[in-house]
Amino acid sequence: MKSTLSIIMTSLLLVLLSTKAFAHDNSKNKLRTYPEKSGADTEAGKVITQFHKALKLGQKNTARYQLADDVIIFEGGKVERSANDYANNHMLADMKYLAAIKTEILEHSVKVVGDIAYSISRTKSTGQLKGKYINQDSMESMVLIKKAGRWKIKQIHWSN
Amino acid sequence: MIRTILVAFLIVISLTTHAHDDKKKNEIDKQAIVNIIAGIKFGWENGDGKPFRKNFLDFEGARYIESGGQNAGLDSLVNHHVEPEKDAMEYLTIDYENIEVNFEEGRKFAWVIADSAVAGKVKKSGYAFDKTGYQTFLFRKINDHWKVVHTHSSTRNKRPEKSNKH
Repeated sequence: MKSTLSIIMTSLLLVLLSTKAFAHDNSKNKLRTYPEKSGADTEAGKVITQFHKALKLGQKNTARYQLADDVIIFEGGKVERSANDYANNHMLADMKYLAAIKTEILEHSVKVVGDIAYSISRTKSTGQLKGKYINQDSMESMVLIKKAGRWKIKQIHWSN
Repeated sequence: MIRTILVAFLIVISLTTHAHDDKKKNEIDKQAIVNIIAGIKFGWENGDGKPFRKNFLDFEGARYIESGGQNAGLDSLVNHHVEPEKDAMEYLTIDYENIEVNFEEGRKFAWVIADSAVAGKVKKSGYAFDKTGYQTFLFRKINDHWKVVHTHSSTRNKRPEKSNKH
């Protein structure tokens, strides 16, 4: 009886560990892949890719760091007017959402004009969240500004 | 001593004049952008592609986003969207309010945000909508003229107003 219990406990532990490892690998595998020559490899583009990666992996501080303090974000019919405002409100919901779904980039383009850059992208999101199947296209526009040698996201407009 | 005071006075005058000129140029550029946005509103409401042809920069990769979809290129925007809507819509009104113009790169680039409201009725189906949301316009100054390089509009149905219960 004791050995049976031990086998059951060990099996449960193994299942738990493998599920967690799978979930971890899965979230990494679902990171965005940017098309070639989209501008994602420019200095400004890297700020965008780091921002999305941080949101996906739930890295709040890294995501917050890519934003200008006075960033303006249009999302879901609402506006947030500072990085702290976003970090303390929508960011966590966005992280939960992005962790659960797969995001495929359909189009992405970063244009750099001196110390200004703007990015436009279209993505397809698929997956399940809270029992609801998600399959939708989303749009993103961003403005980035380089100040003191560092690019920051100044404005974001998300819609779907 | 008098020479020092005179030099200081001239510096102050020069800086003040420069700041005044800069402010004046900002106002002129801002007005030019607001006029273009008024033209865009007119174009949408009247199915007229001319303000778009005149003020949008036509380039490979141009994208104009509207809630849930996008137009690739100026021709697509005008030919498949702006102009056909004149015949398809019983009415269409678009309003932009609280327009904020932000100049960057020595006024060579501007990003503009506004509150937006759009209402209309489709002739064929009778579907009427009344939405509010936000608008982003990106402009570049090319050969002394402001050109729209990107637009992004997102609107949602107006929330029904709560009735006052006493």
